[in-house]
Formats: sequence, C-alpha cells, structure tokens
Amino acid sequence: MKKTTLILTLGLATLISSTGCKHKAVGVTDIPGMSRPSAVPPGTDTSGTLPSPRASEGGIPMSSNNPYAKLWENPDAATPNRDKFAADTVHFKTDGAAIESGDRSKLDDVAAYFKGNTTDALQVEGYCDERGTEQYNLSLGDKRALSVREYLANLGVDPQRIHTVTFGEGKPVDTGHNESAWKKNRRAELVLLQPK
Amino acid sequence: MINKHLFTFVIVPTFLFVTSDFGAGPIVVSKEADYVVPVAVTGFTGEADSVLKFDLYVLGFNIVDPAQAEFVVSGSNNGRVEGRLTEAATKQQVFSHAYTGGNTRSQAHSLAAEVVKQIRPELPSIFHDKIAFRVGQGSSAEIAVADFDGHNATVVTHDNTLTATPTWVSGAFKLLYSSWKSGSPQILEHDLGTGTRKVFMRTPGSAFSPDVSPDGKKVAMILDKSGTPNLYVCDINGENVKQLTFARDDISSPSWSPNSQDIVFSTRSGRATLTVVNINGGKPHKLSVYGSDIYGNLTEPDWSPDGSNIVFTCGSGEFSICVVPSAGGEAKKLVAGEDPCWAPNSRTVIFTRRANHKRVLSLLDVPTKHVKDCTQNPGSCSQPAWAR
Repeated sequence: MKKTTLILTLGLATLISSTGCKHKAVGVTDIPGMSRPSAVPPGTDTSGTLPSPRASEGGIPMSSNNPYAKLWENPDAATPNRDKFAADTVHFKTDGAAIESGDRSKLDDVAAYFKGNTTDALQVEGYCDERGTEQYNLSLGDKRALSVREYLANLGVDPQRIHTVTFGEGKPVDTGHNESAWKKNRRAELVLLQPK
Repeated sequence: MINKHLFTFVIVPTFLFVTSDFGAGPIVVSKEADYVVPVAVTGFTGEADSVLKFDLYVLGFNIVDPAQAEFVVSGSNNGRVEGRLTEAATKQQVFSHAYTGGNTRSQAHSLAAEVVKQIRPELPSIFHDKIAFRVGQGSSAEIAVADFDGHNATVVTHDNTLTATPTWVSGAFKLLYSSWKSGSPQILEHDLGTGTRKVFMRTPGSAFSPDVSPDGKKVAMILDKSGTPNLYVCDINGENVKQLTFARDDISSPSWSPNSQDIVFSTRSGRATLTVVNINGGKPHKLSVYGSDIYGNLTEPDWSPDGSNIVFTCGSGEFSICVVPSAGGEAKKLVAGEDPCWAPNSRTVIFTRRANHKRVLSLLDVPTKHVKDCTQNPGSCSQPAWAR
C-alpha cells in the first residue's frame, strides 16, 4: 500500500506489534444514508455534458517564444510603474470575470497608450474578495486578469505584451469584511512594465 | 532555480512490542460506520491522555465514563506508554501492549492505532501520517508540513512571497506547490528529504493547483497558457503536457480518481459545478449533485481513496463540507468549512475552517460528523493535503 510504502521509505515510524504489518487493502466506507455507487463508467451521467471542446473557446493563447517575456521574467529588465494606470483598476461583479461597461473607457485609454508605444509591457493582476474558496479564487483571479488581456487584445494591443498574474484572495486593498471592502477587492490592477 | 532549505525530519525510533496478552480469542466488532463506539480512557495523564482521547474521538468514538463504555482503554505513561483494551461487558482483554522509542506522543498515537485496528479492522491507521498545508502571514504565505493533527509543524519554504496549493507526490517524501517567487505562480517540486527544489512546470502563464495521480505517474494542474485557466495533465517528470478542458470560463481544483483514470474538478460557468473528465479522451461530464441544502458554488472536490465518494465545498460567502457518491447523486452537507481532503482511510477528512478572520485546520469523521480542530499554528492555515 502506498501509504505504508511512504512511511517505510521515510523511516517515519515502524510499528512492530504482535500483529505485524498494517492492512493491505483500503476498505470501502459507506457513508450513512448513501448507497454504495456502482461502477458507472464516465460519460454515462445523464445530468448533461459540457460543450464540445474547441480550442478557440479558450481565450487568446500565450506564446512560449515571447520577446516581451523578459520584462516580467527578469526583475532587472524592467521598472514596474504602478502609478501610471492606478486610476484604471477595473472591478468585477461577485463571481464574475466580465469587463463591466463602466470600466471600458479605462481600458480604452490603456489600449491607446500601447498603440502609441512599442517598448513597454503590461502586467495585469487579478484579485478576488474573501468570499470564495481559495482554489476557486486562484482560477477566478486568473480569469479576471485574462479577461482584461482579452479585452485589450480586441482593442488591438498585442496580447503577447500583456502578462497576467492571479493573486486569488491574497493582497486585499481593503481588509474589511463587508460589501464595501469586497467590492474594492474584486479587481484587476494594471502595472506598466518599462524596459530599463 | 534551486533553493536549499534544510528540512529537519524527526526520525521516530522503532516502537518495541513488549508484552502481549490476548484474551480468549480475536474480538470481532462489526459496527455500522456511523455507530459511535463509547470508550473509556483511564489511567493516563497529560499528553498521553489527550492524544488517546483526541485520536479516538476523531475516528468516531465517544469518550465516556467506564460505566457507560463498551470498551475500556486503561494503562499508564510512566516513562513509556502501556495500555490495554478490554471489552467492558465481558471483561475480556483484547490486547495489552507497551511501547518504547519515539516519545510519549508517538507512543500514544501507536496505542490509539492499535485500539482502532481491533475495533474497526477495516481502517488503515492514520495516526502517524503527515499533512502539508499553506500558512498565510500578512501578505506572504509559506508551505508547512506537520503531523495529521497539526503537531510538529515545520515551515519548509522561506521565500517571503506567496505560495499555495501544496500536494504530495504519491509514495514519496516530496511536495508540489505553486510559488509566486518568480512573479506569477509556477509549480515547484520540493524534495523534503534533501531540501532541494526545482521548477516542475515552466509555462508562459500561470500554473497552480497540482494534484499527483495515485499511481504516481501523472500530474493534473491548472495552466492558463490557452488564455483561460484550464485543466492539463503531464507525466510525473513534467513532460508530455496535454490540455484536457477547453473551457470558456475557468476551471479549478482538480483531484484524481483512485484508478488514476479520471479527474474531478470545478467549472465556473455562472455557478461553479463539479465536472469529471477521463484522461484518455471523451467529453467532460457534469457530476450530478443535488440536495435540498446544497447551494452556491461547488468547488474543491477531493475523490476518496476507496473511490466511493467525493467530498467538496459548497456555498457562497459561507461554506460547508459536503459529500456525494462519486458517480453523482444526492449530496449530504456535513459541517461548516472549506477545502476538504480525505485521509487514506476514506473516512477522515481534513479541512479548513474560518475563525476570527483567519483559517484553522480541522479534522472531520465523515460518518459521525465528529470534528476536532488541529493544533493551532501561527498564521492562517489552509489548503491541507494528506500524504497518501
């Protein structure tokens, strides 16, 4: 059994007793009030299937050969400027990642900046409020940052210039535990990366 | 990028069996999983006493006076832990053991394990198991390793940045977790025996929420290089990366089935739901999850090692641990909490509970709903992963 192997490998604890080794098999534990499920093969669930996979549904892909990547991969290559777009932080509805109409003009301005500039890059940081579970918030924060990237790309900004980072519910701007704080924390911050 | 961190691992010396005094025959206690066995614990003091009571309660026993007990665990801890298990009605002694080596705490865990083994022989012992978890302090978070009950915690990262979503490499003393050390989250492999680390997954975007298949051959994880957080698998060496979902909205928190063929994860599409995909192809299918008190987002699924059930978090703002048969069906809400992870016995669950705006780890016995908080460690403790 794997766990036993782990324990023996580690020399964590070898328990010698009159009965010797631990159990070999993992038993099936019935949860009260539930029948033990039969072996239903995947795909036979009748509760509905997701849409067929199409690569085009997954947003705008990232390139592994991206000349701008050094601006965020190498801390000595760029100066992060958090002030430039500080007023352009966008906010999201609870559990949502769509760009709200009230924030579009901010991103229009950001897109205009990049159209007039060929050297800088943008880091978009996605954040969530504390009311989601942590792993859900990691993905949701990521999706929020990627939504901003996609929106800017649709305005003509080269998406390879945009680096996204999720912080989940980490780093709240308001540490309060009320709607006013949560509203501020559901956000994407935009950081200008300027080559040194 | 290799950072060496000295991980001091405490070797627990071998316990020596000292005496054995079996009664008239092997005891057979065949109880329903949700039957709460009343047991008395007498004669022990201090840490031995508290460890025995903690362990037995966590496995669904109730600690009662000897007069109400079905079984009595009696003994002493003068220098070493010695204990006997007696069936109360017949006065029949089931076993008598003494333990040396280790310390009082580990000896008491061994005695508790022997008691559980006699009364619930179907359950593998969990009392010497390890957990890994995330410890948040201020704006940084590190990874820690501890005993299953939160004792003997050791912080194994010292990056002063965010780290998250630790998971064990099956059958090895290694972790995978995400680190923001290089800016965006990347998955690192951390050998706890040698203290060496390496980048496990290099990707142009972010990589997080890794989960190693029970057969140790593959890793499921969330990557966003397609432009959306999607589910990917790769081989245990990080090669042969394959995209399994093509979601428009995001995917989170994958967990393998025990046969290492299927992965359950959460899909945010409006409300987050649980979805299962076979790694060899085929459409992902939504897991049917219903119940009168099941609401909000369904996230953080974890497939039980015996394959029977999937435990997950439901809710919005306030969260509960729930369990559903792995083929789908009616879900049961168990207790308030988040991010559940099964122990190897497919009965105990470790989870995160919010308390005073921080998070603490807690243990749940699923059939009896017994809950005990783990030993409190500094910081906000979450994302527990049981070594299995």
